[in-house]
Amino acid sequence: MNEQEVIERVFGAPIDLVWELWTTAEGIATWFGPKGFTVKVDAIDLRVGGSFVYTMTKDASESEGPSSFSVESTFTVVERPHRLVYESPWRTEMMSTDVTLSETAEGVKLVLIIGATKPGMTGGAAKGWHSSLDRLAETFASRA
Amino acid sequence: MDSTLQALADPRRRAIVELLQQRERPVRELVEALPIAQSGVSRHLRILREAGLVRSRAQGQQRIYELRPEPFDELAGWLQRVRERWNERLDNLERELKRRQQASNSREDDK
Repeated sequence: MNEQEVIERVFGAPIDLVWELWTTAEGIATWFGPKGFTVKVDAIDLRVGGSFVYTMTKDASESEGPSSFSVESTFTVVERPHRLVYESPWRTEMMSTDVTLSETAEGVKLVLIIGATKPGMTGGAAKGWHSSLDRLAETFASRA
Repeated sequence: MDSTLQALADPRRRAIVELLQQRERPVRELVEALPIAQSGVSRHLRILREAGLVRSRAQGQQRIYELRPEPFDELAGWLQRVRERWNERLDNLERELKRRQQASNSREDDK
């Protein structure tokens, strides 16, 4: 029920390389910044309870100089090379980023679940919360 | 957005919202459909109303509740932006994976 929230991709690459790009400062810096942003990883302590801090800098443009902000997240699941979950404070909620990698005949399948969550909400409770948000958003999107 | 998420964080309020997504309903119907006492339904409806997710009107003796679309549209827009940002990142990731594999293949070739 939560297609809208879940993003899936298949990569033609070894799983260890995909994992490395998700979990090392040097790897993350190569892809994490959206267009016009540079990302620098300030800390990455890859274990449950460890922190993941990055600074995202908006490249200077003609009208304004560079501006940056930092995001400090905490890992809640670290299972090399298959699963990674971290939570980041977001407004009054938490945002969870849940990554699952699996090896398939076509390549490494990535399933990414992004959602608002309550602090400490994991597993089934978080899933329910995600899929509810999805259903709501879906209904309203299709109606619009 | 914060008040929307907070109001929706409770499973009982999500159940109310899901019932109201189908159609507007009098309080009586909500009480019948949910395993919650009338006072609980009233309390959750008040929280949903204060967060701007529902509105009500009187119809004879009954009070009819319906959803307000605005906060849900905002939520859908936010989810859409999150998806777009991640799709862009994953495009970057795909490019970087290809680049590294090509680099390691050409190193193999040099041997």
